[in-house]
Amino acid sequence: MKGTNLGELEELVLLSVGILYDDAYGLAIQKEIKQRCKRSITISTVHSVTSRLEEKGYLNARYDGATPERGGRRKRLFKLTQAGQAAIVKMREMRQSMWEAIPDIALTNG
Amino acid sequence: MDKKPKLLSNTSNLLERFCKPTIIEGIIGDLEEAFFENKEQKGAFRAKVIHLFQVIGFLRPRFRRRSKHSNFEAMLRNYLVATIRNLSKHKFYSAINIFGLAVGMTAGFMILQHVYHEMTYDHFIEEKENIYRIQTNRYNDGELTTQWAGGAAGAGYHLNTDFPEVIDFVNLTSSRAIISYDEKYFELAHPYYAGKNFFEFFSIPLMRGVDSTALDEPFTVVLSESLAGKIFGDEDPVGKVVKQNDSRDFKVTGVFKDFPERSHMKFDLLYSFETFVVYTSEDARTEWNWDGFLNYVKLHPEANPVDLSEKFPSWIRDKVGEELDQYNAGIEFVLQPLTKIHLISNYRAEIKPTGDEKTTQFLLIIGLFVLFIAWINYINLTTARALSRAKEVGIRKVMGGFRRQLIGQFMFESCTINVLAFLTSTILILLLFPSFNEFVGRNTSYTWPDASFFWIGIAVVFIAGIALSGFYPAFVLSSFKPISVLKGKFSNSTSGNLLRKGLVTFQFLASVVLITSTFVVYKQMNFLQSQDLGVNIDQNLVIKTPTFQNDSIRSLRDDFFRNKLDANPSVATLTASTAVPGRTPDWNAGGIRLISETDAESNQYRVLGGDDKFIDFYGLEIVAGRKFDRSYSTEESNVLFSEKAVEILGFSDSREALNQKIFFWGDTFNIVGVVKDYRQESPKQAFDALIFRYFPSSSGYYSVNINTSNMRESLDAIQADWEAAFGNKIFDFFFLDDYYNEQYESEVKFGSIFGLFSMLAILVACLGLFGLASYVTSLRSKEVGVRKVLGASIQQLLKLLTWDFIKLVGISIIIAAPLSWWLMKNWLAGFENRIQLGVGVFLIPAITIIIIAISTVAFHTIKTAKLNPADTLHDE
Repeated sequence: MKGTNLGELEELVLLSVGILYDDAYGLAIQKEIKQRCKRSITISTVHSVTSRLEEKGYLNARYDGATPERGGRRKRLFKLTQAGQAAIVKMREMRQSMWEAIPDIALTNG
Repeated sequence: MDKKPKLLSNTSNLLERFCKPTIIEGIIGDLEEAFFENKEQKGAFRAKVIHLFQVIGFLRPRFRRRSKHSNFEAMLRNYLVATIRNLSKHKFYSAINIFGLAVGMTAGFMILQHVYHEMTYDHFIEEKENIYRIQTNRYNDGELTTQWAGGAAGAGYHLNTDFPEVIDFVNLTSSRAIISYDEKYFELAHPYYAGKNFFEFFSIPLMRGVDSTALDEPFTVVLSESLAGKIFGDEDPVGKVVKQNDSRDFKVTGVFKDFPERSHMKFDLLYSFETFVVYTSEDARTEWNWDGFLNYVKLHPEANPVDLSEKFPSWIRDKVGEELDQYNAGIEFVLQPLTKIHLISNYRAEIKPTGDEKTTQFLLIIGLFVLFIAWINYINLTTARALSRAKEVGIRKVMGGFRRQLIGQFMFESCTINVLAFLTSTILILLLFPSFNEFVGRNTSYTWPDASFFWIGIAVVFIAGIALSGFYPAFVLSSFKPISVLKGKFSNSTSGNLLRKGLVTFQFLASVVLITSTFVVYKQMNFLQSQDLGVNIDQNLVIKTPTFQNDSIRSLRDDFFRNKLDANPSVATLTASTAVPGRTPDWNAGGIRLISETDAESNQYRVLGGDDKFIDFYGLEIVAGRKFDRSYSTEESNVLFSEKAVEILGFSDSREALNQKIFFWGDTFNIVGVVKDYRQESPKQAFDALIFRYFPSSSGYYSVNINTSNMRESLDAIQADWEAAFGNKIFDFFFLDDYYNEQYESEVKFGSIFGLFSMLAILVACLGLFGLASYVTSLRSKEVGVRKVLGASIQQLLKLLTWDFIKLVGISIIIAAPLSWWLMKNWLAGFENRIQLGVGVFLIPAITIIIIAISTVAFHTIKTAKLNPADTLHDE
């Protein structure tokens, strides 16, 4: 497998899956990212990222929740795996520690 | 919920085929949900468009199904295996097929490239579609006498003033000046004077200097990049001062990038036209009767050039009608579109040699011929060998293959073979391209065109080739009925045979036409070169006389040099003249008439000035009167006429012209002799009307008859004399026979290109015949065995096996003869002096083709005929 580094988009998708918890499928993830980050990504990109995350073992997928709007097709619902949870937690900690390492003076308007 | 549009089910079908089954349901569901949302918010149409883009977004490798059981991939793999097995099973036919196609493609693409090169001259100029050159035709007594590439000095100026459609103009005129810098002299091949707005007119940016003002002042000059490099090296030339002809100082105001090869223009440097006006007079801007100026006009984008040209005749009448009537003369202006000048124009005073439209079209036809021949080979070989594929087709059909699929399979094979041929031809082209460039006399560093237009053309030809050559065999091969072929009942259909015979006939038809044409072209070239020129051009060295501003110094130095050469043991004889054989003399003079006639009866002649030795030196013959003699004090007011000139003057007998007084530009001259007509310019042209004037020390050319036993030594000795007389003036010399023969260059080139591609065509056609013959005879090996057992002789068998092919070749020769006769008659019409198309011209190529065809076929027939019948008959 490739390295377990997270790309930025991958991180956003993982976080969205976490937020959506029980209803995390392609279209919902796309909307979530659009709403929160003001970023338009195509639906095919979302699917491409989720399938990559599945390969890396950060996401699990199951089929459920068919609706008539979907022509009776089930949603492919994603859930964070243990590894996925660990990955975003690690990401947050890493960022936090970096934030803390910035001296206050660097953030003042100088 | 709304009804589901058909689009959705189509796209979901597509995605289902393409995508991994594990994720497909989620994807299609998402897409459908998104579609209905979008439809509500943005309307059905936009929703559909967005949907399509989304679907396209899913067609990427990540989502592809990677099943080993994919039908499509498996099918392609199977086709590929079948193709490779079939190719390697019949290596001989495959090689012929691929090699033939490759040669055809190589030839075709090279010619296409050459034709493209010829047809895209001057395309780098921005407003090319609105720029025209004014070509001028001069008439005398209603007869076309001179065709100038340029024309009257004021043509551009007057058009611009009088016609609102003409929004701008620029004029050029050539110069023979040389320049020097720091006592170093530089020979210039193409120096011109150019109007102020030259660089803006043609949108040519200067590398240094200011485009809009560079040529505003008199005595300014703009250099080409290469000349600037030669003179100044890395220094910035702008602001430097160079000397023209050792006398006038010129300020360098700019540097332009050398013109690309694909332009009808080429300049070393451009002096400002203002200088020319100072040297001559203001009339140089407006004069109607002063020729040799290149005028370019820019039309308004909406102006119609045809409409404009239609207005010219009445406009010319209004402007200068009276004046013209006085001389019984006429002027005609023709608008030449800038980008076509290279192909359509070949008149007096072109900037550089131009191309020829007819030749280019001829070549295009040959190139396509060779390609067609190669495709025909493919069709013939593939259908002829259908038998060996019949069982395969039968089995495939029995196993459930549809005809559609079989056609697909054979088309795939065609593609593979075409691609292989294409790769081979790419290698061939890479290897041969430099030599080809040299062959057509082009700069060897020339690269392939980068225009997408050209490559699209190539792609279209390539794909058309696959379709053309692949479709028929695919159609035939897939048509076999499984029951009959598997039972072994099989025969080539008669219609298939007929088509194949037709195609072979066409191939040989094309070959015969090409070989006959080549033969005629060569014969014509030989004929021209072996013509009695009436002038002796052998072993003559010609040196250009140096330029001096001061005539008396020139005359002194000239005497000195001649005396030196007279004493030089390497020099046999010497003459000086204003022109030498090989070009029509630069001096074109109109208004010449008998003193007793009126201006209306005057005519144009070419004038050639020379000393008293000129006639003898060039071995010209005097038919009446005498040649020049330096002992007569009034010799300079005497002239000689050529026979043709005498005829134009109105005398049928040369002797009648003697002692006639003629009026020549305000002076009176006496005709003292008549020179026999000779080929001043080339045997291609008709005899010219020449007047010889006596100039004891002509400026132009020294012709030197040298002692050729040791060329190097003679040259050195002459150069030493030159330096003694003229110091560091450029010693610029050439050999007259080379110079004279340069005029055949385009024909010789045409002949050799024609020859080369005819050979290729014949080679490819023979390859096809070879393959076909070997196959057909191998089919008949049993028949031959039986005939042999029954007592047939080898000769009889040979006749039997060969006759079919010879018949086809015979038919093609019969059709080809009138066709090539017609083509060559057209081509020869461009020559004043031409060979007659006799029977031999057709007979020799025909016999050659028959011999080639027989020997091609004989190789296999003899082999088959000699086989031991026991070997061919035992396996049944």
